[in-house]
Amino acid sequence: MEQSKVDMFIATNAKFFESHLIPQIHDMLQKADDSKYLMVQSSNFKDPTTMLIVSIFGGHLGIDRFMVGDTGLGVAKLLTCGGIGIWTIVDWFLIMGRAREVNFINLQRALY
Amino acid sequence: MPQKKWLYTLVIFSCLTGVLWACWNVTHYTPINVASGADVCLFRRVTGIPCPSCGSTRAILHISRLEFREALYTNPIGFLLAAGIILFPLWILYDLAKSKNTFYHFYGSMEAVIRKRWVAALLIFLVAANWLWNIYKFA
Repeated sequence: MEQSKVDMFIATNAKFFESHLIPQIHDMLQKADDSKYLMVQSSNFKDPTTMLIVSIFGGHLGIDRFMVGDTGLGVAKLLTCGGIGIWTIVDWFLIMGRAREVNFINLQRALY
Repeated sequence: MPQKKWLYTLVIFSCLTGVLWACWNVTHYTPINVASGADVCLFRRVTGIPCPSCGSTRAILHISRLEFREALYTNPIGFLLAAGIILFPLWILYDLAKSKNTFYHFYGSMEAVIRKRWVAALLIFLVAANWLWNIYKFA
């Protein structure tokens, strides 16, 4: 992929990924074919900050877990009163990292 | 899908917490704390409205006393939770002892089933209906 496209992608989407993965993403994009650019650009990445807000207001019902794609954990959270409230609070601290992790997995899927 | 090690740790920890919570409630059971109930529910404390799973602890208390009709009336989710907190840790221990991934595969296949549109719609309807019933009962 062209250097300018890679730089453009990193500049606009860096907030969606863990900072230590940025060099790896840079390399992955450089090695990828130009035809993948549209796929990568149209990938649906979850904004970690939005996920935190969803987790604060809807975490008790498991909505945050449903949104990041962890359907099973979402159901578990919904049925257990948000893990008797403990899991709800723990997820306020975990959900941003999980959203970035899922974004990276989605990026890998788009590239390979 | 979460990693196997993380999922197993989470399920065992959650189920253990659930068992301890249920045991504590069974041993400290009084008509007063059952009537007030749901003290740990953040949703109920903040909004004043019971959440879809409010009453599950009381349902498990009824199950422990073999009062199945009362348990069903209090919250049917209690049956799922009672089965889950007993069955899942045993299943995971079997997997770990035999070095198998049966629970992990089960989790993956259940997730795939739940993601089907009609299954999801059915489950959402059931949870919403149970929630409305909960609000009617406890509000």
